[in-house]
Amino acid sequence: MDLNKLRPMNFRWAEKIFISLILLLIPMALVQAQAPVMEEQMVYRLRLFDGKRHVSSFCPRTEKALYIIADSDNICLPTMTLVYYWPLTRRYKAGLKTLNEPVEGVLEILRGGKVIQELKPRTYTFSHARQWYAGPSEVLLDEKAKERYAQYQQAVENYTDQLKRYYEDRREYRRKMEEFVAKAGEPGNSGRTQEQRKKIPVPERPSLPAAPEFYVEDLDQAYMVNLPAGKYEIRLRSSDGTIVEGSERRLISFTHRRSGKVGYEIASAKRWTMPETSSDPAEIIYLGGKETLYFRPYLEAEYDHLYYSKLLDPQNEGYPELWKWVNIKQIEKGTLQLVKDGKIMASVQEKPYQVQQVPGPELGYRIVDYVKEKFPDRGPSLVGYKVAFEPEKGSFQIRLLDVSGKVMSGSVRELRAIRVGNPIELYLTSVVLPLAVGIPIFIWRRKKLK
Amino acid sequence: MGVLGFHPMWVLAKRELRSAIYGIGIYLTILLSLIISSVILQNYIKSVGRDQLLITASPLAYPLFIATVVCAVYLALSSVTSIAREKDMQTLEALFYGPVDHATYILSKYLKGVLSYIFIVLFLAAYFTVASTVSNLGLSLKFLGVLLLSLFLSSCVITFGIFVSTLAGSVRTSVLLFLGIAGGLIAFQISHGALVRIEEPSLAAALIYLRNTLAIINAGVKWTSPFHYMNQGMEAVSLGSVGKYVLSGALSMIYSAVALFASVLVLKRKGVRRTTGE
Repeated sequence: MDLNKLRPMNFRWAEKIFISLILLLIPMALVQAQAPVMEEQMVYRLRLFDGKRHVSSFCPRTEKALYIIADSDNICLPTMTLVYYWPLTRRYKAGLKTLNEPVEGVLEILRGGKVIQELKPRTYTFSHARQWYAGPSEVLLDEKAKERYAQYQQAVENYTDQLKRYYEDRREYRRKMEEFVAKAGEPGNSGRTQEQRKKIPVPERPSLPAAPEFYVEDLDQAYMVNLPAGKYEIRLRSSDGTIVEGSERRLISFTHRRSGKVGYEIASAKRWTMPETSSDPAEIIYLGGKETLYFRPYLEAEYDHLYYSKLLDPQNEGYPELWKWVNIKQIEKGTLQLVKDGKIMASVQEKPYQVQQVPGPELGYRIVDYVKEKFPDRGPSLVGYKVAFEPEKGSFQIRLLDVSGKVMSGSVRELRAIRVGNPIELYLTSVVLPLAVGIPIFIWRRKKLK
Repeated sequence: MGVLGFHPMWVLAKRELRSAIYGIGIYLTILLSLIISSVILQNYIKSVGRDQLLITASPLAYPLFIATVVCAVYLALSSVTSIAREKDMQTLEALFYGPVDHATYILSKYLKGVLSYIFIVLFLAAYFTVASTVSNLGLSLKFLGVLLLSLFLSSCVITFGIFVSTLAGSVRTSVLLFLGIAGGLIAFQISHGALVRIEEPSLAAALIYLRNTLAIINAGVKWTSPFHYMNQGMEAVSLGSVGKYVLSGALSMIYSAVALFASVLVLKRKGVRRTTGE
């Protein structure tokens, strides 16, 4: 075969394929570069109380109702923005970076067609205890908001000054430390005896100042909505007396079905990264055998699943006729008791624990008590009430006592070790029971008929 | 039906109950329902063994619900076939020449069904007591509540069967109609129950539409399906709400009364003579 003859031919084919591919990819690239269609509309930007903290969301025009927890402070801000549909999450999104214009006016709340409240924008802020992302939040309004914000600014200023002083002290400490090392390490013929060298004072290490234990967001203006349970309507009336287009929504203020109960997050030592949850006081905790459990109790409330899902995200489909337990507050101080037949088997306090990898190829770990001195650069892996459970016939109970020693409402759970053995007894019972009665009756009847 | 009608009703019910207890069908149904319960319980125990920790309100409630459905469907089916056969063989017509009227007849079928279920409950109670002791799953007062509730479910299913049998003519039509509707309602309840428990982000778009469609259908089905009433009662047991429990029982009894009343009306309208051409 003459290869020289084939080469130009092959090249032409490759060229054709290359051009075809380019032609195919150009429209694809155009499709991918297509921007979503933006529509200017009035939406409600929300910071709603979810039982523990305030969650951010927005309510586009497609959603006809807002959902809030009764008798809680909620922030609501009518805003003109660009809304587009994002198919990946099946949600409408707000292009707030492009357009974010608060709509001014009076927010009217109606019940049965009558205006019951007329709200004006107020200065507000959110104050968070400890970490802003995890702790409970509190809404502050008007003067209180300004005061707390000023306090926070002052605390941050003080902290910055302390931090500046700390860095200066640390520089000084390093200098003194170098001097100390030089003096203490002098050779024996330097004029100082070993005893004298031992008496040279060790410079004191400066300590890092503590950061403010609270966090306050920047001041802003919005409407504060707080309503008793019920069904309402809201709308925004502009300064010229007309209703702002697209501002009318239904407003559902709902409350819990059950509250004040204790829920538990329960981690077994064997699967500590995958804790289970026991929300309902009627639930039973079943164990496969000997087990060490770590309990984390929290206060909880039970809400309508649909309403609560809509509160977290107004575009959530949710589902009616279901209920959802919500963790509203971690319980930090108390005593967990393990009880059997009314006798207290163990009484434990909350403690921090550290998970340590076991050296070797088995990838095992052990959970040890957390001591700050042992792990200065790390926090505890888990915090909880540790209960070592030995399987026994019958049932145990766990219960949580508050600081005054009283059993907390809805904190009692039954604990049982299941006999994980051969299930033959189950099948044997299911076969023997009906047949032991049925066959003799059937035979007797047949004989009688004959 | 006056006081005089109670005696023939009781005689008819007693005769049929005796026939059911002397037959092998009821025991085979109990056997089937208990084996299904054992499979569910074994799976549950296996999962505890694998995961070491499982949290649930009442592991016995679900197998009991399934066992109740199996037994109640059998009892309803036996009422369906008995009514259709009696109509087909013209025994029904003969009965009506005596002191039996439409209400007496329908109530006797219902009474027989309920008494048969009480007989079945004894087996279910014995089985679940043994199963919970052997596995240490524990038998609580709540379980007894669910057991009592199963009586109301069976009552709803039996009356539903009786109503269907009065609508249809032949045995074959009655059985097919009952099994078709009951099977459809059970399948609906299972698929609806499974879909609502999946959180929205985990659902594909098609499943969200399906779930929303099922929700619309459920608004009507929950009042007509006899299987729905036990769910309400089980929720009341889980909440520990006596009021809701009583309400659930009362709603089941209203459902049964309405279905029985409708059965009497249909039977009166259609007559007790065999319809030709079926």
